Amino acid sequence: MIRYLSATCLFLCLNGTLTAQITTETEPKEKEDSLSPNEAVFITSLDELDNNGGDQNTSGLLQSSRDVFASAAGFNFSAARFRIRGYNSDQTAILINGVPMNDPESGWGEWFMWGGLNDVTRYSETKNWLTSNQYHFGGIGGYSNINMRATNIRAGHRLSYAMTNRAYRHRLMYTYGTGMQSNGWAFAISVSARYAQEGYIDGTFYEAFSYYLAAEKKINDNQSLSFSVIGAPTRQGRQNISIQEAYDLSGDIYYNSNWGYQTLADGTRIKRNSRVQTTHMPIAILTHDWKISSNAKLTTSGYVTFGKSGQTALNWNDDKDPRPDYYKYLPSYYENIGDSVNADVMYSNWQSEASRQVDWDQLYFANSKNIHTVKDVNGVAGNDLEGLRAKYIVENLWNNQISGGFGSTYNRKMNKLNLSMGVYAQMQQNHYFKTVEDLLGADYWLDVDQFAEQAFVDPNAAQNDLQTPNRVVYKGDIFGYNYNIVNIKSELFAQAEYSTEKFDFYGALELSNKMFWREGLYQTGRFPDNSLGKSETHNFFNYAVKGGAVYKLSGRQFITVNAAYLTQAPSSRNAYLSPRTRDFVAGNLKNETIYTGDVNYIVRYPKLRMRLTYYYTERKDAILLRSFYHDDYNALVNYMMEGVDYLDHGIEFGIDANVIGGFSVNAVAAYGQHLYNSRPTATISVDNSAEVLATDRVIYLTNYKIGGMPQSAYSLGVKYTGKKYWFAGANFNYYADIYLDPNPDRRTEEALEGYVDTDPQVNEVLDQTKLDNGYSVSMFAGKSFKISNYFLNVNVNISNLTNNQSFVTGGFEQLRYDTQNIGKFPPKLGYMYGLNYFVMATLRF
Amino acid sequence: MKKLFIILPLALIVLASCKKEPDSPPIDTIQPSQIITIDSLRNWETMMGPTSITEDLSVYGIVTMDESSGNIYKQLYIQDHTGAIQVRLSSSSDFKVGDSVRIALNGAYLSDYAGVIQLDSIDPTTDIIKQSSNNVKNPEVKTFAEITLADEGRLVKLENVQFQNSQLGTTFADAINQSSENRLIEDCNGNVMIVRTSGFANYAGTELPTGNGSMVCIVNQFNGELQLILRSFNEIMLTGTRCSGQLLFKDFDDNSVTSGGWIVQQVIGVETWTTSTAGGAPDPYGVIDNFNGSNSQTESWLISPSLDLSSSTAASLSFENACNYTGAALQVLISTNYSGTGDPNGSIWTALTATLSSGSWAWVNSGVIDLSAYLQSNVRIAFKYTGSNSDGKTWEIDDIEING
Repeated sequence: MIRYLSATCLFLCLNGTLTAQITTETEPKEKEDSLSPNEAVFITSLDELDNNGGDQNTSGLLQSSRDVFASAAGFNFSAARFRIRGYNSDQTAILINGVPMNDPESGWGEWFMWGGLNDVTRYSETKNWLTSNQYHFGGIGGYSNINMRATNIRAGHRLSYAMTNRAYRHRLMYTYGTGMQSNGWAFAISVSARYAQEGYIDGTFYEAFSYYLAAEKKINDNQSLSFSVIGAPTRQGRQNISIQEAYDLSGDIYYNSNWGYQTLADGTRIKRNSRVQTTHMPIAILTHDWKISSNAKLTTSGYVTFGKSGQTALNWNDDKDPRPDYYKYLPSYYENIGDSVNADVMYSNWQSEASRQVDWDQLYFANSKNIHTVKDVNGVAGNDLEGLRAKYIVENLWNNQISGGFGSTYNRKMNKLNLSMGVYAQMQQNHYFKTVEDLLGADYWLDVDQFAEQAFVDPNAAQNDLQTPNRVVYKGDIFGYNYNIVNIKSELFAQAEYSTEKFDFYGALELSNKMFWREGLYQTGRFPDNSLGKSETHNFFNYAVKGGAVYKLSGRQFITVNAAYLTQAPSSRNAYLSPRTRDFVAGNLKNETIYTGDVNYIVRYPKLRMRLTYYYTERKDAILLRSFYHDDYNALVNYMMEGVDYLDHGIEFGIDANVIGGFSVNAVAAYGQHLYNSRPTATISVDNSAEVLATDRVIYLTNYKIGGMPQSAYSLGVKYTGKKYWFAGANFNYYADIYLDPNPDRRTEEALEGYVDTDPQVNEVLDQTKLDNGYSVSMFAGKSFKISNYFLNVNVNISNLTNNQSFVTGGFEQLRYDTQNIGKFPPKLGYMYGLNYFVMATLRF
Repeated sequence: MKKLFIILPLALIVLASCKKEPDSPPIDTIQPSQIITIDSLRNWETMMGPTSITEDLSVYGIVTMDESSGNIYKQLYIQDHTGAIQVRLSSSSDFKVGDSVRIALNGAYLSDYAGVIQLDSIDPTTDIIKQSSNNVKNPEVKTFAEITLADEGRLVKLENVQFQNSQLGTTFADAINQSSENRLIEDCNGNVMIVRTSGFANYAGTELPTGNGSMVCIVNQFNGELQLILRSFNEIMLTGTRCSGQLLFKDFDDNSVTSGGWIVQQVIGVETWTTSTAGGAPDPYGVIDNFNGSNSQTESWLISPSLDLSSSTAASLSFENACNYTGAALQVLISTNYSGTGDPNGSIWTALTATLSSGSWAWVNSGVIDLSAYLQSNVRIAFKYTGSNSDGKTWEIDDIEING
């Protein structure tokens, strides 16, 4: 969960800076936060939550589960960002051919790496939550093992076309497998393309291609070797969420401030998105399967992955904020200060689409007038350059990976005992840097830190790269920051499963070691002694144990219990306070601890499936890192909380009963409490200054609800399966107890300094905002046809059938706040998509 | 299966019942003994003089005047059930009229300036805590006579008042030079008070309204002299018909000939209008003669301020007069085109018929002189004194009154 939170945090940070303010017009403008390169896990944006049916590019985690609760919850609740047990994908082990593939830097499963390859990933083996696992220790959220071997692709052709109105509009996919041929070879290919000129949200586009190539060679009866390559080059225009005022002013609850119109040389006006994500991280994996005997096998795989993941953003220097929903461009800002004249000006600005979006022409214009001479370019005295210095640029924030891994699992069956053992290793380097994507008509960008330029007397302090001072950069050049984070993780795993007539037992143990370090490639002017070169290596040893038992009441009814105790190394993504500028880790970097357990009552009759569960999970000593612009300090501030504990517990209930004929009903209930469970301590520092603003600031966060997801959700549905290969069904879904994620700094003694218990501000500052409960109706139908040797399947699924557009599914409190007027910086909110559909026709032959 | 239907609701109830209250940081409490009224604050300053407050005290009040009109800057006025006080801020604030506030007093400085008790050194961002908004604090309706220095800082409403005729045509303050100005406001009984307006007020450059009506203001003082401060232009409701009685009254009791906008134009000679109580008069009157050892040729005009009679339905002039010695009669004249400067002989003046004293210092009333033919703007009356080298009367006038 910490990684989820850190992702939320990223989101907060990003958006926190979006709303940051400056105190006077002459001061430098804030920039994106220090964590932007971590876009790969940036999941809070609506366009990536759209994983209904597993047909879009995010987690298909739950889709393939056969669990009566998980399958229904996964399909029906994802639109409201429901997360089962409050877990995120870092608690689920994602395996390919049995090798763990979670990003060791963040812990996250990186589904985008194989997005669009649904024919390959559809039949992954998924088990939810605490369970035995013959591949790997797994996570407390369970595991998903994707089989990428060529023989996993059913022999024959499969061609599908899908039409949707979500992140993309069209998808074409072709998959072909030979099956195992008599010559001992199997080959498979799958390619797909996804495209939208504009997705559900204005200004978003989607261009993605995916490929899968696999060959498998049967060496002899007991051994085979398979080799697979997958990749998904994707370019995508992003959306963001905004405050209610922006939605009201634009009349659009899906208002997206990222895009704007640009007039091209020939006079045509195009929609251009300032935040474009480009990813391509191919994976190549080689697997050796060895059936040692009839009851023993050894599976060994090695993989490499490398590639790029970039996210563009606007950057600017010495000019006004180009983001159209910057809070000083909103009427409320002026209404608050009693300036009705400017409030009216802003109001009328928002009436026209062009002026409430990014004004690209204005950015080009500003750049075209800014003749400027840079003295001593690259530190060479007298090397002066005159030209158009960019006031605005589009920069690209990169997180490029090189990763390799290895895994070997041995499974042995003995009478009533199954033994599994594994050894794994992963090494990954994440290269974080940014480049100039577009100078917007200017000649160059001067690579100095504007905050530092203001704050320090020493001119060297402003240099991002001391070894090349006053560096002038051009399109494609690296600038700003440049560093690697290297992670090395190794694991040993052993598991025993034992069955008797009445009981099944399992127990598993994992020992692991993780180390990471930072390698700075720039010597930063603010931290000349602490930015360049390899940092100290941080090493963590961890162990984890889990066990469970099944009591068979009958062959159809079971009671199961599971429990686990884990320690986890902090992720390097959270450990560094400000990795862009320096090597500085949390003061008390230590392992997290997780205790979790569940009790389940499971019923499996042919016409009735049911599960009732109580689960309890505590996670302790996590790190939560946020960065945001703080105008009191006129700089980016890093807010690191240590000792963050989480508590998730609740009841899960799922039932699926065949009532009569082909008619069945299903119901799912998830009643949960997902809470912060400690008083973390915060260290607050400024990104480009050595000054520490606060240490050991106590955050009174216990029992605040984890925001951005419904704490509870319910679904009731019907399904009819016809005799002639068709089915149809519908569900009514209800989401409850949704809260905005709390801004930690508001829950401190410091925030309430000067207030007394009777002041209304005390509750305004402390109270957590609860959002209205919401509902959605979803529907699905499908039919199969057989035409000679061709099979045609048509599937339709519709989410939010009633087009409910008033449901705020989540949001967050801005990190900026004014205790005197808590409404001055209102929360950012996201609405559930209106009616959306996914229609797919598949031809198999 | 049946068990399930017992377990499930039971489990939900158990879970729902363990609702956990969110954490809260330690918060300071406020005791009744730490709350001080505005009246007590004022008494404190009165008794102790300027004082720094170093205790954790708070005062509660409702903002009765804010900075939004620009008439005050870095200031607020607050009032509670005991009194009102001026609050001086270390920076400008967004607090609005009707905000109920708590002001934390530790670090504040109680002082007085020109008689006004002030709560000084208040940082609006940290010391003033808004409790609620849009509280209605109705001004007390008071007459001029009822307003005293004890009302300093309080919000009052004056009814049936108007700017004095002499003030009309001027603006509230000097917006160009951004300097404050005093304007006179009166009731129909002739009671007068100063309205002081900052040159930064957003209506400083607006001409004074000419009508009669109500006005909401804060009572202030300057070294014992009462002043009124308007809190917003919208609360100046001077649109009614002016007092049917006096449009102008000049009694020379201030020992000034020219107060109230009167002008003296000395066309010939040096002998001019002055004031006197000679003859045992209880209060001063205006007087002129041309005798200083001998008679000298003299022409001196005493001219009224410009009057706007356009909103009157009828108008009249009366005055008291007395004379002695021999010489020309005092001329009573009226004009509608005199500019207020220069030789009045360049303008058109029409003689008015007045009852004049027969001499021997006998005071007579002029009688009611009808001005109904002059119901327009820029009306002035004048007393034209003429004397020669051989003779000249002494003319005394008093209680010049124009009603309309």
